[in-house]
Amino acid sequence: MIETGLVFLAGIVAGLFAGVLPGVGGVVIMTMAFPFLLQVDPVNILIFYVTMASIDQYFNGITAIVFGVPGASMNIPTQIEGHTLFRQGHGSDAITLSAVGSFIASLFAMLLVVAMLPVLWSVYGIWSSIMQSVLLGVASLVLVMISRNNKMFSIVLFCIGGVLGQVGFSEESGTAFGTLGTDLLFSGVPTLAVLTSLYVVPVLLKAYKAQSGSFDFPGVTFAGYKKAFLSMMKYYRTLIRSSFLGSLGGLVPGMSFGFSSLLAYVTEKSIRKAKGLYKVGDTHSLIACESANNAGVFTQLVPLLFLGIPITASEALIYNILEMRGLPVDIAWFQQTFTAVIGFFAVSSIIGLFLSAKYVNIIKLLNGVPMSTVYVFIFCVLLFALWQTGVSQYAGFNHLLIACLLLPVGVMLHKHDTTPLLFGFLLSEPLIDNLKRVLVIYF
Amino acid sequence: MKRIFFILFLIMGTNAHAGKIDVIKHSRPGGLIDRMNEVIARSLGDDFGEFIKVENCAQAKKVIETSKGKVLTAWPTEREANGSPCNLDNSHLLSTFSNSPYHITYFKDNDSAGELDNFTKGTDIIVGVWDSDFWAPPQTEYLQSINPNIKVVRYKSKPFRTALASGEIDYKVVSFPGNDPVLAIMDGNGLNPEHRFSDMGYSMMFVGNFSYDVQEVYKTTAWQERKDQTHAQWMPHLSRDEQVATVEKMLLQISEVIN
Repeated sequence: MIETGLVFLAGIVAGLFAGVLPGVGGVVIMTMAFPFLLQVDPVNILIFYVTMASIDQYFNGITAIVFGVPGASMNIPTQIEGHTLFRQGHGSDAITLSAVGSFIASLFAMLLVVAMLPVLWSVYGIWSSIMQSVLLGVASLVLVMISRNNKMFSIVLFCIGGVLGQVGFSEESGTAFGTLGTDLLFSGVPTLAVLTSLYVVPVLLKAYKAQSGSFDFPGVTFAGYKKAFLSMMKYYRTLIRSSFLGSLGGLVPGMSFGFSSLLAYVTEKSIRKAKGLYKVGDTHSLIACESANNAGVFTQLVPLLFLGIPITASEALIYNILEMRGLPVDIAWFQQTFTAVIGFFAVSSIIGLFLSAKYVNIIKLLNGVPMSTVYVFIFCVLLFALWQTGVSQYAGFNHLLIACLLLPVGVMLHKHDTTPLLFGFLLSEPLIDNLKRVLVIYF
Repeated sequence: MKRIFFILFLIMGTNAHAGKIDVIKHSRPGGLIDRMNEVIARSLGDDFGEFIKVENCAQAKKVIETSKGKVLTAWPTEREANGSPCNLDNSHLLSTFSNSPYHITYFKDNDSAGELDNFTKGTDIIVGVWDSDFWAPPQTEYLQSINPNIKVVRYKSKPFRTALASGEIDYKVVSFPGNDPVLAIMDGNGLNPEHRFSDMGYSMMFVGNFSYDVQEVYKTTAWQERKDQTHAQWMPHLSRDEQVATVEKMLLQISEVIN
């Protein structure tokens, strides 16, 4: 019991670090925690993971909203809508609405999984390659269409992103693409380097040019939370829609909750645009992506708990640890842990909801600091994160160097929306991979 | 600049662990090759120096070729195929290391898939294999020698995990069956044993920059307690030259199918 409590606390701290530090995602934390996890009770390994993943989502969202830095690719929609709201002086609303929406979505996902227990096996019947291709294709198309760029320019950016995503040596094919004969690009272009240089830098540069003045954040209060809870009735359609899409998206192997967020965001933004209600800084779209994220965090556990199949890198690590401990890693064991896992996920969601408010008020210390200084500081943190993730992934300074090489392109594109480029980079590979399979299976 | 750091790193590593044996980690943490390198490190006992962590096989190759200190590592056999940028000189191939036969598995709720006749005589059979330009062609040749109607689909590792459960494939070919029931094992004794790839498995070489007998690894409890029990000693009774010759023959046969 004491060990469980300590593991739970460790999960909260780990989630906080994963959420606040860009590039330090779940896999990095799980790798760092590997020796520690080898010593604890097997059920506690799962408790550590769900707690860390849950808390991570709350803090990732806040960093994207306040500093304009998406900690991971899944937080890009949050950054687009949330940071705009922040710059418009609605930062407190953006944080409370996304936190409360996330909390409700977490509960929704848990209830959905419990309700679907008898038919969970059939869920994967829906997730065929053709279904994944359709969803990825539609999401890519809508992303290009809803960008504020000229459509043709967006398509070009998407394709450039796609080409960038193919760079590197493939162990599967035994061939290298676009490495220019250098070792630097042998492992491909790191996601954090693309995210920093081709997305965050253009966004920050544009914001820097558009807005002078000082950092001003009024903070978050419990009254604000209450108000956000009460206002959720206004967003109930968005919440149900995005929680459902998020829950489904979390089940997609290889994409999991990152795809949930994008899917819900694209859907909501399209609906808002069709109604003529959308403009950047849209609270409906913000709630959609944040709630989908949190719903997906829970449902991505389903394949592990009910099929004994790890679908994310973090889950694969958990699986390995359990096997190394000589445990009977079978579905029966995972199902036994379900009650504990769901319980701790619910508690960590509540803690994340309120802890995020506590954390975010510390940021008020920055009030009065010139925005230019804040942006320079953020840029320095990102450079540090690039170096740190490079080291943790055995790449030394490579990630930092690649980001610096991409930087001039990001600066050049700062007047444009580089979202299509980023999603071309992230989505092209699974899209092409799925389409290739569909061709073989069905034609 | 990068080269300077790399050389400094090597020099520092060499000085700190003079006389010890370092093990190179060059693959995804927690994956099969990574686990095998952990086994090698543990088997070295007090002789183990440290892990040299590199990002990819090209960097690992550079360490093996240039390190002044002693280094060892487990090395996927396909990297020794002609044309691979990670191809090592034969002098660095100390011996063969491990091999696991491929298992043909199916989803436990798919009753018809459990029938051998369905696999060998079915008309609309889809089999998933790992998306490797090296291993997939010989696997396809072998599978279609059993049943010409078999359609082979390639999967990257993550979607491969749920492919059976999705119902879009009937069988999958893997070196780790996990919890899935096994229909047959490609160990040269089961289906179509005459075929040249009937005993082809996923294998690794034992490579390094000094002479070290792999039997020293096999003798330890680290090897006995390895997680990947399907990976057994690979050609342990052959001499080093015979092992290399056998591997070269296998690589040549596979290259013929690929080309």
